Amino acid sequence: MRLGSSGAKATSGSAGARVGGYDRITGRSVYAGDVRLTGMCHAVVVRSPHAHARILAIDTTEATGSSGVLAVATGADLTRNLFGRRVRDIPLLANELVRFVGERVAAVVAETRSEAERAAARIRVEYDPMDAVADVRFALADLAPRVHDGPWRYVNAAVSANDHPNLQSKKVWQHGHAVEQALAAAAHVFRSTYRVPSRHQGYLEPHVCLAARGLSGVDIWASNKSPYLLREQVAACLDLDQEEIRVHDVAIGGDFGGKGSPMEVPLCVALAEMVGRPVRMEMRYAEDLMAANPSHPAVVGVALGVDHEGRIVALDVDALLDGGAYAGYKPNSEAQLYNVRLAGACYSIPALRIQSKIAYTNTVPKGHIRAPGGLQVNFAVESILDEAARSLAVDPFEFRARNVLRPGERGALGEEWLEVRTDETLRALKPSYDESACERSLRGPDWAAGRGVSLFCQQTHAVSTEVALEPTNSGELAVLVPFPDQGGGQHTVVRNVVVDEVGIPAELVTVRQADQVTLQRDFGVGASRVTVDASEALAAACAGFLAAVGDGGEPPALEDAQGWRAVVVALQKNASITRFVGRADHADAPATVSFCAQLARVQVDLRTGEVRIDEVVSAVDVANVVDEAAHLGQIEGGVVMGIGHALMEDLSIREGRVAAANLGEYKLPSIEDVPRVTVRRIRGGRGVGARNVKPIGELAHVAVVSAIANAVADAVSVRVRDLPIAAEHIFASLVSSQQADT
Amino acid sequence: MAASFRVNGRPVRCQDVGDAFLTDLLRDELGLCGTKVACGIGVCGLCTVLIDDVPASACLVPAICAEDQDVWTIEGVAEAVETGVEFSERIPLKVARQVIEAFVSADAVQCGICTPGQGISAIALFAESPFPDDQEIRRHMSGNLCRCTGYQSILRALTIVSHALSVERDA
Amino acid sequence: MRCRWNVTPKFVAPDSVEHAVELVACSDGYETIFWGGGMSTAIMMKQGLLSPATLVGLRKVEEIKKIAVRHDGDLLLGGGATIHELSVSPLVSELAPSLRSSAREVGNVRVRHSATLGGHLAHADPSQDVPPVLLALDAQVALRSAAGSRTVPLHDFFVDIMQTAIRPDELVTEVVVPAGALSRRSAYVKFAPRSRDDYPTVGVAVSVGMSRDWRTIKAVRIAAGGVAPTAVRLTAAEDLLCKQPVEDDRIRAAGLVASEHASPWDDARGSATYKRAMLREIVTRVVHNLTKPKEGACGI
Repeated sequence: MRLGSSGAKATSGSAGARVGGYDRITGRSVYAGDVRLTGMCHAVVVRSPHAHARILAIDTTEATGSSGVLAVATGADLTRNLFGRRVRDIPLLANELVRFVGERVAAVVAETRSEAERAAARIRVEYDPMDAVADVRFALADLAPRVHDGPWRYVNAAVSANDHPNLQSKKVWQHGHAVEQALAAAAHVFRSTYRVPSRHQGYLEPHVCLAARGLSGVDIWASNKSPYLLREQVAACLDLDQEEIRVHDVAIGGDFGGKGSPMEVPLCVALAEMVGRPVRMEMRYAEDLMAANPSHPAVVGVALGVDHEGRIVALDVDALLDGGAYAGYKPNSEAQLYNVRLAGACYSIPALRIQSKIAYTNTVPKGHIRAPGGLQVNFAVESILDEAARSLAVDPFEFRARNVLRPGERGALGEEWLEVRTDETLRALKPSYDESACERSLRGPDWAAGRGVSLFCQQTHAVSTEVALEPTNSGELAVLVPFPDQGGGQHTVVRNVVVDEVGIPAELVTVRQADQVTLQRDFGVGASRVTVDASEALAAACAGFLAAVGDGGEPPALEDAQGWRAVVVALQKNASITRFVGRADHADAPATVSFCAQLARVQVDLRTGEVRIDEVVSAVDVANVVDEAAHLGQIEGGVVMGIGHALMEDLSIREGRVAAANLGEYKLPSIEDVPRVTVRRIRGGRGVGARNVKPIGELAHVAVVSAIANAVADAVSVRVRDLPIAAEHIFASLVSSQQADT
Repeated sequence: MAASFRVNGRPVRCQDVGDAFLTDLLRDELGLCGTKVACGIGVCGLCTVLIDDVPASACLVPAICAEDQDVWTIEGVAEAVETGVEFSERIPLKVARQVIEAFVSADAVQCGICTPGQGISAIALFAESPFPDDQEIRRHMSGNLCRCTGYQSILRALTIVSHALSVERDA
Repeated sequence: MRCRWNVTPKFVAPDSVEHAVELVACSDGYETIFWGGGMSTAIMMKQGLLSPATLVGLRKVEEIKKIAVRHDGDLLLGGGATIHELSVSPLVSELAPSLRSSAREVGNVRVRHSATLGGHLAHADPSQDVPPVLLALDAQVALRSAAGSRTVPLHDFFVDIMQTAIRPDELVTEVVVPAGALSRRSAYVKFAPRSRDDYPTVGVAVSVGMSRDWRTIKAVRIAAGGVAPTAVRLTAAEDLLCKQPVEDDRIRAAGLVASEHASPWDDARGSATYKRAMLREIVTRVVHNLTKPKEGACGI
């Protein structure tokens, strides 16, 4: 992969309206839940009411006899391989044991969904409840109930027989001096523990799939953003040949890390085989909240050592994450969350240690959320930094500025970053930060105003991909890509790159997701890699196209669409190749990181603890922006998602059960909850590849959370260490500190 | 039990609708999948349609209760705008056109699953109150959730509409 | 399309109260039910809690949609008027601005356009916005069935969580707010710190009648939502203030007494302890503001 430097082309930032935008606005885009097939029938799932229990008996006789029922399946009927994105520990339907409230125990297929639900209600399951471990702090204790028997035996397990039986994975990252000694020698040490609850990704399209099995193989339509990987996972689970499986392209209604798991697709395919007809399964939103793959709740202990000059000498992060009943919804080869290692990445830290343990518990299996593991450690690190600054009577902004990673320095874990722009990014907030100093609350004497800052970074992951340009006989250029657009604007980025590279008018460029046969295997959307990989591959494909049509590889000098059409039609008719393929390969991709600094200005009602956010100012380190509007949309959306995580989102898993099981209880921010969002993009960064790009999708939301917590601390000297930041908690702290004063 | 009403200006007579809700009828019987389903309890706004010119949660309207009513979905409204045909006495076509155009120009769409509902709600807003201030816009749109945009681009789109309607009024 | 229950429901839309109540009278229990906006009923149907055979739509019963002032000055709110209609009615805005405020807070725009006043009250969720205001305004509920009519004071209407004094065959035809209540100054405050699109942690409605010199509280009603199994009048707090001089200490004491007489529970919107504390804070605040001689009843 070429470095982004003088050879890279600048992009115009916009080639027109969002690809597929008009169809989405007018309700014409087809999502997985919109597909209808002749003979389609419906399946619903019976779920466990227990966190941990033996299944003694399942009586399906009444259900089988219900009107419209085509089949009833239990774990005994569907003994297939266990499935998963990496660790394969998830059964299609529970076999003998249920391990979390909401686990799939039986499935009913019927002509209509109503009939399936009615029959499902008639299935009688006899359980023998067992002791459950619902609190991750007890999961790794000696006498904790075992969630699995010998989890090291699972395919791709990340643990061995020597590990605690409830361990899913563990990892330690270290760099520099020994952290315990550095802490012992530090002038000041600050220690604290922070808690982050489980969050739902909040995609508004619940998991849905449709599967059909016939002589020509398996056809799948699913709300899943990694078609090739889904194909592999289904093939492995059901002992099918991947080549027989086609994952069709559909629009996806939001992802945020939650649509990478196969979820109910393997079961759906198995049921389609059982009944010999296409089967549709759609999780009700309550089911999705309760039994999909929400984020890992965590308890994070952190110790920060600081010297006399206010410089960080050591950072020790100890994260205990709750992985839930199954590890199979995590894709990482070590069953870890890839953002945890970036806990100290924004700073210069001579002694760093990050420990991460993920444990099994009898709760809903956890998966990825945007920047997986990022919030859990960032909340802890950015909070302890703030606590330290205040304790040392140093301005929190200055404290960070003093300690940020500098250009030319190796990363906190020794990385050789292509470029480090922490300081510039943070400093972009300085004017707003200074402006909000000593601000008297405009709301009145009972409100206190505060400001808080926070830093976050995200690494660019470049994998590999292949794309193709196909001239059509109507003179358009069809761009085939192996990945969907889950709302992040991936297809718009693709169109813009082609328009810039080739010079062809945007209206002649169409983008579509190809089947899995045409293009090589692709990782799917996620891990902030699509823009980087795709732009590189597109540049190569466009070069091939230009070689065929242009003047020695330069774009033809054409004025308008008509001219281009003629050229493309001619090419399509005459050329011996009908397709121009371009590949990107990650072999020599430099380690690239992007920074984001967030400033939150809040007001706190001293009489009730209520927090109102007046403004969030985001400073984002960017290189070339391929589509300005889509890019801005990712930042703004991220900020509001962060506000949700900060103030209102909590699945409230109590005694193993998700209590916030509908969208009236699990609150997502509404339009009335959002403040002014100001975005400053710090241009001129060094990106990757032919287009000099850096990712944006996972960058904006994490730091907002600690910025708000820090602003609350600034306003009322209350440090919230458990998310979400609830008015009640602040009120209780204010009352108890008042009482302490009297 | 049959139900007879109008969907997108066309009479619909559904035999044996049973206990189906309007979302089922629209999506499964009439092939109108622009109206989406998420929360199922009227909170998220994805299933917003116009019933007798007023925004309604289709997921909570049993199809039989739509008897004699005028239902408009996003597809019908879009078609009306594209063909230039007024579709309602109380909702001017130009309002619908301006809302759709503004959503496009302000890029007020990402994954798009909430967008039809946002559009229908916005059309109802401007039909009732052509010059709403920021607070009124937010209050009216409060029941239409979006996870992708953070509402910023949606607010920009609605400001564009409000401005366009003011300019027209002043002209 | 096949049914999820045993019975295919029917929908009829009569155009008179007489016909509507007759239809419901001829049924057992909840087989035939009234259908206003139907949103809460629809949710119960989806949860399998109700499986009615016939829905009697009230959409065409014009006589129960009226919002008017009677010759004696009482405000008449039709049981079939929607929450939206209440929120935009010039009469309500002029005569009972706190009712307008609370109506504007209900649910979201779709709920407001669909929910009828009668249905809203019959739903009786303890956290709703409108009931506390109507309690503070001494509202009476007029009920009609095929067997006859009766009027129930609103504070007797709410019995328990989602249970009211209404009988299965009765329809709320009208809610009456007496002229005397309208002459008082009132306000509604919804405290919802988690999100603006939410039920309140506590909702407080207060109405006061003041002496000419603004020194004495001649009449007072304090009602709250979200702090008991039903919307409640906090009469012990009222007793502390009624016919008493306006004094900060007394008002604070009333706030405390209000919180002691509430019976809130723990949920996602707050613990019982917090709700009590907020009830105290907000009752104090609202009474304090309403007993000050200045323009406007709202603006807390």
